[in-house]
Amino acid sequence: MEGKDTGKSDRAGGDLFDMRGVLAGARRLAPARLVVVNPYDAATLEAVSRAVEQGVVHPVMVGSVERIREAARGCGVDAGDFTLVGADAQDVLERGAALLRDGEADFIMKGMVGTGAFIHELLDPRWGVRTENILSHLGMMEIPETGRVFLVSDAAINILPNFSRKIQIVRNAVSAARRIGIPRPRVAMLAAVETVKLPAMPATLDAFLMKKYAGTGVFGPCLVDGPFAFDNAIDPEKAGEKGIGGPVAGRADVVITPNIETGNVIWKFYTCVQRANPAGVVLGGSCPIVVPSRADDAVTKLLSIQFARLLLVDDGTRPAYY
Amino acid sequence: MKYTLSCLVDNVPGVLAKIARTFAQEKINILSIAAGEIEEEDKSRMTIVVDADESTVKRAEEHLQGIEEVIRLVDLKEGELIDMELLLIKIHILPEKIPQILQIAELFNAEVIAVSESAMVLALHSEEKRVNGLVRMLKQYGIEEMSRSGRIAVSAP
Repeated sequence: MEGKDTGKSDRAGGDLFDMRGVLAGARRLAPARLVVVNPYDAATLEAVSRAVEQGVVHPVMVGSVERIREAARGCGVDAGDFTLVGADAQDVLERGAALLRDGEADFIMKGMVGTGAFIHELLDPRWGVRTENILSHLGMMEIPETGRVFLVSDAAINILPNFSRKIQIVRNAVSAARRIGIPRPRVAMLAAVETVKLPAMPATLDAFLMKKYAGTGVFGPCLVDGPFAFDNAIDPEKAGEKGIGGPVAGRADVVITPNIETGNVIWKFYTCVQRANPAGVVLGGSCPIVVPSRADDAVTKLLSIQFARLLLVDDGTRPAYY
Repeated sequence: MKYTLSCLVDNVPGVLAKIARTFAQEKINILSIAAGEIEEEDKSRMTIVVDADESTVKRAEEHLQGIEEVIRLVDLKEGELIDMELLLIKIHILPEKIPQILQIAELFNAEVIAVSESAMVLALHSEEKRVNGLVRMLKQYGIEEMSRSGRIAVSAP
């Protein structure tokens, strides 16, 4: 088992350790402008406030100014750190999206807004967020014992992706993995077993074919393999015990779930059973989109803001999504 | 013109040969023939698709009804039958073409039922037009092997 190395990539093996150390990299970048829609809950306000303290963002809070100030007072957050933009409930989403379109913000986060309505509005062609890619959610977690970081996609956006959508999910995840310091990501296509089982387990077929497709080099430098059960994807000892070989087995940097239920269970297991804080961001748009769950606490929201900030690349005046 | 004949017969040796001989005597080409057991024991239903003119088919039908083992013969008209065909098709896997092949399969509701390093087998049960369409679409990717059940049919409810 490789040792823990705070916030650094083990270049020999390509492993990344210490999730918070990795995400702290966002503090070393210039602050980016984050627009937050309806930031009325304490977790969002505290997370954004801490991101300001860390120099990660300049926030633009959109919603009822009075309500934002009141909520901030209620949780001991100084609303003076925020740029406040007034908008009523009917046009708050449009107002927030327009800030992105007009170049007044670099990325966006939802506060007390339904995820469906939020994403739906952002995908309106008027705002320029929609690209030729599909949107996909990418979570970041670490293995508690070793601190090894891995990414999970998709826990929130794509319900039952077909092969074509999985291609884009892999593409989004691999790009992000490279951006955070994994030059040649190892990608595991998840299922419940390591062999193709038809017709009972269609996820095994997609995983098998994705490996073949990735072999054409379509994703650039990366290693894609599958199908894998979750333990054999991220735990080298389990993979070893079962005699599952290959460079990805037990050492996946990215795990691609076959459906939203699998991703959601991994996410919720991490937060509810491990009592740990993941980070999550939606990829595939013209900028990272922070779409936390209402149940996420301030730490998870802060880590998600940092994660999104890391995925922006400075190109002079305005960061651009990588 | 295509005719679909549903032929209920006693499930005994030689009956298929007698039916085939009848069509041969009338010089009718059988496009497909599918036979299987039915809800009654010791009986089979054959769905026979032939291409011939009306008078020739009528003559054949008369001869068929004279065969001892033929219990009932129905000429199923288009619009009065529920029909389906099963296709199994093995496609060579070109890794760079995997997304396109799967998209086509999805479009036709075909299912991948087996896969190896070099090939995959798709299954489709659908009406003849859709089966033809899938075969046409997949030709460009290299068909290694293919098998069609021929039309099976029952009269519309």
